[in-house]
Amino acid sequence: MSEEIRVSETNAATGETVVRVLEGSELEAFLADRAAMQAEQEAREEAAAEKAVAKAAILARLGLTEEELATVLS
Amino acid sequence: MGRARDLANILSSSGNVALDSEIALTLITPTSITATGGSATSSISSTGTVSFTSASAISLNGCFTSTYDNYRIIFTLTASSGNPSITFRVRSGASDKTAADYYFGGWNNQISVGPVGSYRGTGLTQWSIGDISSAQAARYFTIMDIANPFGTTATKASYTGHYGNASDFWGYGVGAMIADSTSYDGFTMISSTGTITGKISVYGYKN
Repeated sequence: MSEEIRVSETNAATGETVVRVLEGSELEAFLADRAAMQAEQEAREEAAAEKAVAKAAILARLGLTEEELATVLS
Repeated sequence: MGRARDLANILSSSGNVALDSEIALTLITPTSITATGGSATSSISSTGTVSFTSASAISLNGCFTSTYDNYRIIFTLTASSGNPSITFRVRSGASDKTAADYYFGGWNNQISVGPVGSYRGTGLTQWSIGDISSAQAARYFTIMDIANPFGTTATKASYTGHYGNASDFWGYGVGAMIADSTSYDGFTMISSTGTITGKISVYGYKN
C-alpha cells in the first residue's frame, strides 16, 4: 500500500483551508524527492562520521585527547 | 501582503506615530501556507506568524516581495516525532526549488566534545538548518537573515541556531548561497523524517 500524503493549504486573505491527498505523478514526485533528500542527508552524516573516525585515529597516534587538541588549537 | 505591528513599535523617536518607511523590521503575513503530513495542521495569526503541528514540511508562499530586499526568518519548534534533521528550500509559484544549487558552509559545535562533523555542502538540494536530538524539539531555535530572495541575483543567507537534549547542546552558524538567478517568493522548512510542530515568523528589513 502506498503512503498517503495529505497537504493542507491555507489562504491568508480568505482564511480558507483546503486539505487534499497527493496522488499520481504528484505523489510519485514527492516520494522521489523525499528519498533523494534523505539520501543526501545520510551521505553528509556518513562523511561526518568517517571524518570523526579519522580524527580519532590521528589523535590516538599522537597520544592526544580531544581536550588537549582543543587547547593546542585555542 | 498584510502587515501588523505592535503599538509599542509604531512610535517614532519623537513620540509620533511612525510611518511605514520609518519602521526597520516589519512582520510579514504570507499570502498562503502549505503543511504537508498525515495529520498536519497550520494557521496564520493575525500578526502574520505561522503556526504548524505534526507537519513533515511547512511552506510559506508570497512572503518575499519587491517591498524588501532582505528578510529575517525565525524558526522555533516545540515538538517532533523522532529525531529529524531540519532543512530549508526556497520556492516560487508554490513549488520548491529542488535543483542541486544549494551551497552552505559553517561550524557546528557540540559542547561536550567540541566541533562535530563537517557542516558544509556543495551542490545540494537543500540547506541544513539544524537537527533534533532525543526528541527535544523545544530546544531547537534558528534565526536566518536571507538576502535578495525575490531579486534575480543569487540568494544568500546567514543563519545561526542551536539544539540540544537533556544532557548536551549544539550551536551552529552558517553562510549559504543558491547558485542561480531566480526570483523566489517563499520557502519550505522540512523535517527529514517524522514530523515537527512549531512557529515561523518572517520580517522584512526596511530598504
